[in-house]
Amino acid sequence: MSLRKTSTHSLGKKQLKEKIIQIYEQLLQGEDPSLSNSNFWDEFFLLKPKPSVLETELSKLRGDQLNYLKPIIRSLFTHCVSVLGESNSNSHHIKICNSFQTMVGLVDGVVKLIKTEFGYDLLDALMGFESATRVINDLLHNSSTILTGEYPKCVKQSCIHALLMIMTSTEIISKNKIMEYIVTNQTFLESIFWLLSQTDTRIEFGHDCLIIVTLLVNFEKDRPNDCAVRLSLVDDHLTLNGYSQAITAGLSEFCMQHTLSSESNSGWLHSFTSMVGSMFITDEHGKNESLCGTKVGLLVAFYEAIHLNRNFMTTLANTKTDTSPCNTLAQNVSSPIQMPPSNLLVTFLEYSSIVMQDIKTESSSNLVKLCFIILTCIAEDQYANALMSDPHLVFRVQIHRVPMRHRKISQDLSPPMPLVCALLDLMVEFLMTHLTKRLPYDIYMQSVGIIHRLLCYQKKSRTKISHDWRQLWSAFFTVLKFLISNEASLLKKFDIFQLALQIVNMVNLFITYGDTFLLTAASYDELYYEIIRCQQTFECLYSLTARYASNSGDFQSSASKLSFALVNVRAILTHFTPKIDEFLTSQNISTPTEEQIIEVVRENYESLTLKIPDSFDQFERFSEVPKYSSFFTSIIRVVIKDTRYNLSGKAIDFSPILTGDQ
Amino acid sequence: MWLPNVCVVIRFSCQTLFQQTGFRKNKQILRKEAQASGERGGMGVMNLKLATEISSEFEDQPSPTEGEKCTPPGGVPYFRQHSRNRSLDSAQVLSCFHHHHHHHDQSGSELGSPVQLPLSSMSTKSHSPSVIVNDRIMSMRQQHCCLYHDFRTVAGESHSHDLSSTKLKCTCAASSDDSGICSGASGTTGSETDDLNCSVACDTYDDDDDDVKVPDSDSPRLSFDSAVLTDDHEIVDEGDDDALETSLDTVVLTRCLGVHNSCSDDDALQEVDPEVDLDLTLINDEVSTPRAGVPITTLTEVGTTPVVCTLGEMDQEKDSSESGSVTVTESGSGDAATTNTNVSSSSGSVSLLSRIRVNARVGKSQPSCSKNTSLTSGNGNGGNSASTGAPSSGISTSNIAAGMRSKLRLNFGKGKEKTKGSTSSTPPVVESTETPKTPTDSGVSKSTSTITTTAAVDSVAGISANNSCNNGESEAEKKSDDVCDNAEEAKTQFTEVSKPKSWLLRFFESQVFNMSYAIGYLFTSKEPGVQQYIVNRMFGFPEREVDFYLPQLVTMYVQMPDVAEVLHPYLVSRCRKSVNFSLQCAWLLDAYSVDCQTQSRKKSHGTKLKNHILSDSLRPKDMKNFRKLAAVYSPTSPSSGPPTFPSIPGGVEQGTFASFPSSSRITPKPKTHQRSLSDAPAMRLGFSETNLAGKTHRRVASFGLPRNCLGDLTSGHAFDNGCMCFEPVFTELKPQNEDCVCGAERLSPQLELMKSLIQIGKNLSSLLNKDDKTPKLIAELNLVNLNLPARVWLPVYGHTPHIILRIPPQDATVLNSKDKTPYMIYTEVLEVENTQSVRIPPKPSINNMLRHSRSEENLVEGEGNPPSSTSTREISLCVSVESPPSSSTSNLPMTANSSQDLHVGSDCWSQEDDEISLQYLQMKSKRCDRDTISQMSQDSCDSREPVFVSAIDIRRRLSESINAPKNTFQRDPEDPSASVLKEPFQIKEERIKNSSPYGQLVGWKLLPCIVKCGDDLRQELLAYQLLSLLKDIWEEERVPLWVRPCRIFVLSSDSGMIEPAVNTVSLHQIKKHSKMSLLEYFLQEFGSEKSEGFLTAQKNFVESCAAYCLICYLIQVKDRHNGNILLDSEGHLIHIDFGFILSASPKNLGFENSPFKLTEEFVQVMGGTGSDMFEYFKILMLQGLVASRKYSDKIVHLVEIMRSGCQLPCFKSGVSTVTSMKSRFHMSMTEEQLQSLVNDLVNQALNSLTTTLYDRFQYFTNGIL
Repeated sequence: MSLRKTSTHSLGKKQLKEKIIQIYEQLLQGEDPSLSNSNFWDEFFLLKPKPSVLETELSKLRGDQLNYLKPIIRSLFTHCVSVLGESNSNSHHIKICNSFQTMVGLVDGVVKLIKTEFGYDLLDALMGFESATRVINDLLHNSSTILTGEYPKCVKQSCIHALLMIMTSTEIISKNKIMEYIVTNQTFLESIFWLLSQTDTRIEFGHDCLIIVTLLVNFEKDRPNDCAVRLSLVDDHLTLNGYSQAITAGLSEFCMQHTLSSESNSGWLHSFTSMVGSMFITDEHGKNESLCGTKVGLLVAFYEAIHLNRNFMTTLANTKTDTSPCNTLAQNVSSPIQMPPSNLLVTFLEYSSIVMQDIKTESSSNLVKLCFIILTCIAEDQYANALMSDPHLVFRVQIHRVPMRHRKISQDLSPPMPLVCALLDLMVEFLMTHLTKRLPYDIYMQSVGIIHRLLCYQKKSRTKISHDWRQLWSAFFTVLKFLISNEASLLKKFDIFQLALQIVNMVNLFITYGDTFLLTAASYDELYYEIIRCQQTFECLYSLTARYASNSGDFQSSASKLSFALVNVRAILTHFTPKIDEFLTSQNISTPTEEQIIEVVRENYESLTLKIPDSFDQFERFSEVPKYSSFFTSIIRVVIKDTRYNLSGKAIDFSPILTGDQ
Repeated sequence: MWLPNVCVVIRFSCQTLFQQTGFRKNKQILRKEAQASGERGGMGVMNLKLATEISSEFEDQPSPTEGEKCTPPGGVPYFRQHSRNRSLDSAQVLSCFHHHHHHHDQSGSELGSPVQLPLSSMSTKSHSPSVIVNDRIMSMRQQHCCLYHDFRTVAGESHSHDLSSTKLKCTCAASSDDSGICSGASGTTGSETDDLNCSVACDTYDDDDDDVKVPDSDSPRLSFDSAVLTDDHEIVDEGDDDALETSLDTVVLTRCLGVHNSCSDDDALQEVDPEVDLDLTLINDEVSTPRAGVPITTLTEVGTTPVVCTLGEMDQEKDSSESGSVTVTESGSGDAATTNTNVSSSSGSVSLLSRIRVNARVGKSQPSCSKNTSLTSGNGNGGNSASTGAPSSGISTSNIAAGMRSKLRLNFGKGKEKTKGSTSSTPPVVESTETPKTPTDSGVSKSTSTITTTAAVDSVAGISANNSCNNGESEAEKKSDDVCDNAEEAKTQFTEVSKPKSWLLRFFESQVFNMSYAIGYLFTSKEPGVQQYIVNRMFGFPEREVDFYLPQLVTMYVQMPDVAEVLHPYLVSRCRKSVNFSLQCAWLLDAYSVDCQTQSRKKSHGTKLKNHILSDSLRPKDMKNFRKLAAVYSPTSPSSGPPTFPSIPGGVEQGTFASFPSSSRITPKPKTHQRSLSDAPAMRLGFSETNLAGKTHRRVASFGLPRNCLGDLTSGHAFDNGCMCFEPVFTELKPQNEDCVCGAERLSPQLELMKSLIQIGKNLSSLLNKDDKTPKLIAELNLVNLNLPARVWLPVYGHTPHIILRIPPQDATVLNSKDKTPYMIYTEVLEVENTQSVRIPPKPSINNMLRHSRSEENLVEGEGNPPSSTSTREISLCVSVESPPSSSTSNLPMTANSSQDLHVGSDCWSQEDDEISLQYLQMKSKRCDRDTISQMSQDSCDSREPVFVSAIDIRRRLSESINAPKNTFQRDPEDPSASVLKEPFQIKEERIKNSSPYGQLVGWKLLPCIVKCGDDLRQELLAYQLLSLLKDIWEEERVPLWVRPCRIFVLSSDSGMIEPAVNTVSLHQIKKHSKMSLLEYFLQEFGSEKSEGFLTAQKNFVESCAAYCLICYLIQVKDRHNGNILLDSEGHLIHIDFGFILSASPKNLGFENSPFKLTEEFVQVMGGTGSDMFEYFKILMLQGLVASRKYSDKIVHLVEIMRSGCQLPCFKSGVSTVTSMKSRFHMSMTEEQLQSLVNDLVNQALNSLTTTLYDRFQYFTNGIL
């Protein structure tokens, strides 16, 4: 009593802070203060809320108490929502912010509560089934108004914050019943798109908006999803462009951080390890699952857009205009003038080259997998292919490479080139750098599939890009060699014949349809030269297939397919080897130069007949279901976790409205 | 019989006219009218109109009487007075001489001989020509030739005779000795589809001392009248012309008579009556020839007297077009006193259009009887008003538009405005004037009834003027009576008056007087009157012609305050009319007034005007004016057919403008943001209807925040001024060609576009790495594209109205340049009728674009290289017997695959996928039909029979495709532009069209354009003008020299745009990429030495090379390295980059002192020094030089005016620049001398060491081969 007295007089401020907690306690004891004070709710929302306190208080409750408190909780939530709509009151902005925060605390508390106490439904606890539609629609309507209206930044921010918190309140998104209402709401997604389409709001909220879209689209993916449908139908230039730019901004921010960290630490290895360390923050969320800081949410958003919306392809090469990292990172970033123009695809390729440097952990390999899924989708699309192959659309793509024993990293900037070349380079880089004992077979298959798709397009459209194919060939042959040499251990885990078949098929493409997409005859000669040079490899591979095709094991069919596919290579080898030997003996040369071999090859094309294998230029189109659905479910879980982690660490600066309004 | 006097001709022509039009018997009427207008003449002394004509009219016996009449006293004093101004007189001589000549020519004699005779006779008769300098005459002769040509081309064959009268319609002029020249000019009425853009102006001048004045010839006054005389008329319809002319003349006559009678004692002398001209035009318009078109009789009531008036119609098409465009204009200047009335009435198939221009100075009402409407437009200033009755025969609608345009006159007319109290309609005045009139009119109307009405109107005007302003009309009436009685006397006096016409004036008023002369005289003449007159005349010149000289005009505006003063109204009025002109003007002002700004704190008038323009306050003043102008400069009316707004029921008596359905026009429009409209989700049928409705509604409601995004490229509406006047929603509510009424900024979108294009250039320049530039350019253009289409256009192509749809980024390229970064864009545009009022095509949904690309998948297979595609296809067909054709087989399973995939429904594709898969299916079936062989092979493939292909075939195809002639050079990262430029424009256009989402729009076009920033293009602009001029000259003279002037648009002193010559590559690029000599390249490109292709190309080469050699010599073009010389796909040589001309040369190293660049290589292509083609080359040069010599004045003027600015580096040696240029025309040389000169020059150039030296220098410094 005395304490209270002193506090009222001398420590008024302190007491004020406590007042809200008192009210929380009061409420949770089942009292309804509004009965005694008609202005209670008005005053309540003027108090600075303590969501964390509310949450803890709530989670302390027991199941039976919840039942008893339901009306209070519902009324609190309803008032939270309704206060959003009162636009006439003068301290409206503060109330909105407070309401949103209260809501967050309330929802989180209830979620925690019902997690322990089974048998309760979140929706029922918060608003009751019967009024749920109305309340949530009110909430969303008011939120849309706030987001798209003339409100201070922090109000919008708190709105998005609260919504994200609500959406991520359950670990598994499909369990969040509130989501169902949000997904089916008509206006909410539109307002998110609007935020994305406006430059200023995009810079502010782009990332969060994309996360929201990701979550919405991924809610109950197995069922028809209204948001997914709507995302697939977006055709507004500005929205799409905004969407794309928001992704670009996020990814380039990541790339920028990577570059900065690698620059600040001298030495590549050091920077690399530190980068990895910073990239996969391991804390209580950790356990190799978190992908915090990797913008995985954006990747999913990117994937969804590219997978669902064909219009989105047009924005791939659209230049990032506003949301340069300078805006989001604020300081010590080079001025935009010196930054080469980049676009979504360019940034994404750079991003991929960074993340694929390390795929040791499961989460990081998942990340790479996701990247490659996106690339697969892109490589399948005609428009994107046309875009990438356009000789006039050249960009400078920085592909980050890991220094390895056998190669030096050149820091030179590569010249601008068509994007398809950059993509091929990226794939070559991947193929060459991950030939480890724990071969990431899946990702290899994806990578080879991407190259295959690109080649098929080029063959079909007779697009001749000027590209140094030798790197690709040598990557192919290296992989084959690796497979052969590690055949025994690898075969225990994977069907290496599948992978080899894919590669050999592509070699076949070059051999039989080289005229449609190779630029010069000389490069066709070079192909033969390379094949002849790797004679050993192919012979081993053939004998391997012969071995497995004959004994009826798991791999019989794939091995026999492969041996069938090898027919052209073998024809070449059998055709040219005697000629070359003949030439060498006639010229009395022991170590022929490349030119000499090519000369022999060039002269002996006649009488070489090639067989066109069937269906080697087809690929199975990417489809999420069923192959990847579980993958995405797990990814979304990570996204939710990361998002919550990020949000909890983020403080909204309310000072503008506090000073401005009062 | 070659009398110097024009009268002969005039009379002759007049007579024919009268014969044709059946006016002959109307002498009486005319006289009456003369009488009637005599009163007015009392005050409007100055406006003497073509008195000759009437004399001729009155004469039954042409020549002898004429001879007598011509000699009388008037002539001598006149010439004496004017002989001091030699040049003017010489010009006059010229014009006169021209007339003679022309006339003579018609009678079949050849060109050369008669020329001298009249000239000499003239010079002897009049004092002035004797002083004419010899060379002056020479040049005049040359000019004459050209004029002659001009004329011939203009005049239609059948009507050439009549036209001669047109020519001669230089009006009589009298100039007062002490106060210089006072000029009154009535502009022209363009009677083309754009109805009236005429400016009627009349400058008034006060004679200070009345005492000195002796009637008529002794105190001659000068008034120019060129009223209705424009090219337009001739082109459009001769018949019309005649009619107009005739009427004009008659009226003039009457007025003149009046003058003679009454001027001496009339106080009104002091008052100069400007409106005479106006009335005159009114009459012109109203009167029409019975023989042309369908005559329709209308009754017009002047006051109470019914007069039958025939409104003639020119030709049917014109009618229809004109009837559609009804314009109401009220000049907003407030002090305007003229009303242009545009009457258009349509009756069934024939509609009448007559244009009535009434001087509003005097309040005058002319109620028209049957259905006519009379409009009264009160104007603010003096309470002047004009009302015109538009007589229309009993026809459904008559739309009357009254427009006023008299700024000019009022600005400059010194005539004291007697503000007549009578405002709208002044019945009493009319009444009073009627008294003398009525008998005349009625009498006349019975006989022919043509001119009467107009004359009546005129006289009414005159009298009423008289009435209200000074002396009682009784006196005037008396005078008129006198006149009536003494027709003979009038006649004589009249001829006397006709005599003392200033040659200069006659020249000015003649048809041959064109913009080129106008510019020259504007520059040289110091007489304000002359300047004033010329500017007034300019209103009548075709706008394009004037626009060509805009740089000169602007320079003069900036540099010469006196010219600026007279030019100002012209520029302002043009600015009001056209956004394009406004911008052009502003940019040029900006470019040329840079130096002025730095010199003084005070803003120069050039800057002021620029700011004025840019403030966008120069827009048509009010709605009516707006309307009229819109119709004037958009020839869109033909399509619109019937009157564009609801017909006015019955006779709207004294219809004020309020009676027009302006209420519907000025529909207040909700200013919502455009987005809400364009977003109409056409394809969002994927989900339920309610969804759709709810959403769109929502969008408009809450997201459609109206905000001005001008200039914000990321907004997607950077070039959108928010004007929605042309959205379909609103166009329904108002007539089609309505101008923007919402008052959105008209200039800003275009300014923003230019700003962003220039900014791109600057951004590019800031990149140090050459490799980065192209991606950066693509990136920036992508951004710009987000904001297109919009109401913006490429100013370089400003002459053809269009709006930009899209700038395909991948076809843009950065051009080679050392430090500046010019870049080239290909712009997809939509050609429209009027940029300002066209509806912007909606942004296509991306889906369209994608679908396009998708459907292209079918084609893409064979499309790789258009020329080689056929061959490869053939090959693949041949091969396909043994091998499955590459794509067809592979495609099928894939499509099946994909469609199956789509149907699975695993993803959220909606119905549109069905469309796409349908497309796939169609494609599949189509392919099967088309290509049965592949079908077979596919079958065989399916049956798993091994298909074989020979390796050698594959390799052979590869090497063939390499060696196949290509359209493009291989893309070279060092020089990205080479491959872009090499692609033939047609193929590029086709390609882009196919891939563009807008490709199917009617009027789609691809326009190339180079954007330069950091470079001063003003000199290039001058070079362009010179080149165009020379081109015209050579065309005129039929010298087969070939020039390709590249249009230049100057945005500021350091930026601008260039219209590139398409299908060209530079010699440097040829050498670099093909690594062969020029001749070898020719052989490769055009075929063997004897082939048709080669010979044509060689001829082209020679003709263009000769032209450019000559140009290089005449204007001393330097910096001629191979990067600056282009070769087009037909073998023409084209020089670009005129950064160093006249007295400037690069670094002044003294390289390149040869007259022009003619290398051994060029001569090789011509076939060597001794070859026929080389001789032909020299002959061409000689002919070209001779031809350009004739017009050297024009050329020199152009340069001289620009020199007055003195900012350009090419003038750094000052006056000598011009004189040395003049000297290069070698005016004094005979043809033989010229020939040897040309030979010398060629030899000098060929043997020049410095040429090779300079090429070496360029190679070492810039790597240019």
